[in-house]
Amino acid sequence: MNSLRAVRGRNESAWLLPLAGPDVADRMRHYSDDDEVDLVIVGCGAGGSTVAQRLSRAGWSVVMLEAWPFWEPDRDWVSDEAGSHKLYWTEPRVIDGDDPIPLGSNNSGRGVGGSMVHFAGYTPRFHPSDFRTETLDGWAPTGLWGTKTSVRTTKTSRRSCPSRDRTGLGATPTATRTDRTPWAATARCSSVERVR
Amino acid sequence: MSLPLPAHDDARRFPGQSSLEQGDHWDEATTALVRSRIDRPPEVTFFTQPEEGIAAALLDRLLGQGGEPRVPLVNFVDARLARGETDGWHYADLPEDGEVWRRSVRHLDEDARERYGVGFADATSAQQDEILTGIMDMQHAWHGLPAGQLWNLWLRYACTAFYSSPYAWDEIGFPGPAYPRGYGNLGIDRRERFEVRDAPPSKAGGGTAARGGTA
Repeated sequence: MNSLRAVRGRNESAWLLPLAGPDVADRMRHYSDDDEVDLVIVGCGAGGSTVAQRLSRAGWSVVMLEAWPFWEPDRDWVSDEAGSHKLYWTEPRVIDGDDPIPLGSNNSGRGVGGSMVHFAGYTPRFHPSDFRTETLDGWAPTGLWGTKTSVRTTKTSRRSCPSRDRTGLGATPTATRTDRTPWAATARCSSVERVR
Repeated sequence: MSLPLPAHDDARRFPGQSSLEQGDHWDEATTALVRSRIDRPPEVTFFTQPEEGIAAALLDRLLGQGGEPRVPLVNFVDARLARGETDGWHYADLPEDGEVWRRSVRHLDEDARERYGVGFADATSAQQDEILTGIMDMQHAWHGLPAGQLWNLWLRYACTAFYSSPYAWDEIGFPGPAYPRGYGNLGIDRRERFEVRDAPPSKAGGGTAARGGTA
C-alpha cells in the first residue's frame, strides 16, 4: 500500500468525489479583466481542462477561455441524435476534388469539455491498481479481446454492463478489484471472458 | 403507432413496439423535445408557402410517405434551415445548404411545369418520381447543381428528419432514448423487455410479436 499512498500524495484526484452540480459555473472562481493570473488556457477540452486542473491544484491561478457554452447536462443535453446538434462541431468546411467524400455530421464536440461532450464526458476513472494488474492480480491483457492467463471477473452493477458474450466483442476487459475502489457506489463493471 | 409501409411490406417488422410508451423512463429534457416533435411540429419560417409545398412533396417521395400518418418532414428540414443548423461542410460545387434547397425546389417546380403543365406539388406521385429518378440517375449537373451532390444533400436532410420521429423508430425497431434507464441485456440477439423481436414480412402471417427477453 505504500505505493498507493505515494500516488495519493502526488495526485489525490482519484479519491475526490465528483463535485459538479448545476451551479458549478457560478461557484467557480472568477477573475476580472484587471486581475493578473499565472496562466490563461484557450479551450476547455480534454487537454485544456486537464492542464487547468493539475496546475490549479498546484496553486496556480488559471483562467480558461472557451468559445462555446458551459453545458449543464441535465438541462441542456438530450438522449436524442437530432436534438444533440448543438454539441456537434460544425465549423464551415468545403470538400472538393473529383470524388469528394462527405464528412460526418455529428463530430465531437463543442463547449466546455470539447470533444469529450461527444460521449457525454463519461469515462470511468481508472484506479491506480488498474495500472498494476500484472503485479497485483497476476494477469495482463494481451490485446483488445481477451486475456492470456487466469482471469478474475467482478461485476459491480448489472446496469450498462457489457454482457458476457461468447464472441469476444465486449468492452475492453479490465479486472478491477472492487475492494480497492474508494467509491463503492460508482456503477463500474468489469467482465472478463476466460480465454482458453 | 405505425407508419404506413409500402405495399410489398405487408406487415410491420417490429409489431407492437412503441418507443413512446417508454416515455416515462426518459429524462425531462429528452421527453419534452421528443413529444414536441409529435405534438407541435415547428412552424415553417424558412420556406415560402409555395416552396414549402414543393419541399414537402419532395421529402415525402424521398422517404416513400404516401399517406397519413406521416412524419412532418418539411417542418423539421425547414427548422434546421431557419436556424442555420447545417452539418458545417458543403461541396465546393454547391452553394450553402439553404440556397441549394431554395434553388432545387424552384427547379423541381420548373421541370414539372415544363413536363406536365402543373407545379411539382400538384403533380401525381408517379410524375414526381419520374422527375426525381431522372435526377438520381444523372451523372452531370441539373440546372447547374451537380446531381449526385444534390441528391446526397437532399437525403441527408430527409433521413435526419425522418429518423428523428418515434414513429420511424418503431418502424426500424429502435426503442428510443436510453437515458437514464440504460440497458440491462446487452449482447448479440438479446433484447430489453421493451424491445420487440424482428418479424420479417416474408414470414407467413407477418411474424409474431415476441416481446423482450433473451433470444
